[in-house]
Amino acid sequence: MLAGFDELCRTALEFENLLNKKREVKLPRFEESVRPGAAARSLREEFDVGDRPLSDLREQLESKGVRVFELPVPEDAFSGFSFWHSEYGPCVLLNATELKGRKNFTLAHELAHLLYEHVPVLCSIPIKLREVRGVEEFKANQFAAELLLPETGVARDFRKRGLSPTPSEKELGQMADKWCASIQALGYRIENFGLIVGGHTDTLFELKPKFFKRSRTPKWKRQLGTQFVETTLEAYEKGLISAGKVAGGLGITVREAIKEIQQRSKQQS
Amino acid sequence: MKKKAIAREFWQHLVDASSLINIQLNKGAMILEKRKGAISISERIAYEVAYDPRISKTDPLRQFVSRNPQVITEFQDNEGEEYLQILRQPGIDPGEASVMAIALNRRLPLVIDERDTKATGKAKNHGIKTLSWQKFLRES
Repeated sequence: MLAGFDELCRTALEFENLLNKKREVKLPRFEESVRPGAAARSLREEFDVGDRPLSDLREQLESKGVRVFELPVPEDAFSGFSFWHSEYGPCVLLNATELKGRKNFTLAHELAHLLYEHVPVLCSIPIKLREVRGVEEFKANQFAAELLLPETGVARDFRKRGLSPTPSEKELGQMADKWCASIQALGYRIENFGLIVGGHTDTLFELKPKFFKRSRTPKWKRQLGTQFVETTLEAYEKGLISAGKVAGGLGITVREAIKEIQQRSKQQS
Repeated sequence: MKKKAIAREFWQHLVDASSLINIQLNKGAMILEKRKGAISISERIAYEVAYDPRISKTDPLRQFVSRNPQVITEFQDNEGEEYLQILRQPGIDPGEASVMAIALNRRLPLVIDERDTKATGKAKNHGIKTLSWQKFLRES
């Protein structure tokens, strides 16, 4: 799994070098003394999203030089992993089999580890966020909640929806979808704001655990990300790599790679 | 005329995966059957077009290779080492490196997607004669 992740990062760098594309890393770094809330707010300012949902976190991070890949993790052994590599720069791996909102939360969580330059570890984010262990993990969760779920925006949205202090999982699910976070993360967050009854999120989970579980594994394009797919196909168009190399880079068969190349060529003409 | 056709099939060509796929897509698998005596592929190319478990059992190239296993050629002499050396070069994939190593050692022409300028350029730099799949078919 981690070898596959490393291979993707290495391939991305190889194609960028062939295209003479220098990847500039524009991520800030924070001292441990900086509170997660303050760090998250400063990043939201940088993304210029005010207190609106951060719907394109992955794209925002990729534009800042972070490599983000999704791969299915066998038996959900972990949710995410991140590290700063001397050549590849900052890289994040997400468990592709998790739900979209949860994956976005993991991405924000891993971003915290990168920004605080924590030692790389495989992060297994528990379904019940309160069960998290370790200072760094707790801090990363706090950062992720603050980054994805800003208090003013979320509280305003909650009131606008006219939700009761014990909203249904469907109501919470719709709201979580808008804020690109998991239901659990949103539930705990608004519990902390005093908008819903304390412990309500755990009750929902215990009543309907299936609702919180896995999605289908996304297609390879989603797993690899638009930027990597585009870089690979651009390298092919410029005659720098072959169809076989495209296939190897994208993890598909040569026939699928040729089909993809032909489709792109049709779209462009 | 018949004599000429027989003589031509004594001249083997190494063929890469994208060329095989393009021939099948544009001209059909029958043309491959017709030229099978002139086609030689490495084990790696056989994997890429036929034996990769993701490839359907009904795939025309998988069926072609299964029917004609004699088209697969193994590395001989120092071709394995040559393959690793070629593979180290940026932009070259394992399939291309494998056929380039064999073509170089056995002085055989290489049918390669001419669009792949980097690989084609590298092959020419190694002194390998290259031709496009279209040119290969025109020879029939």
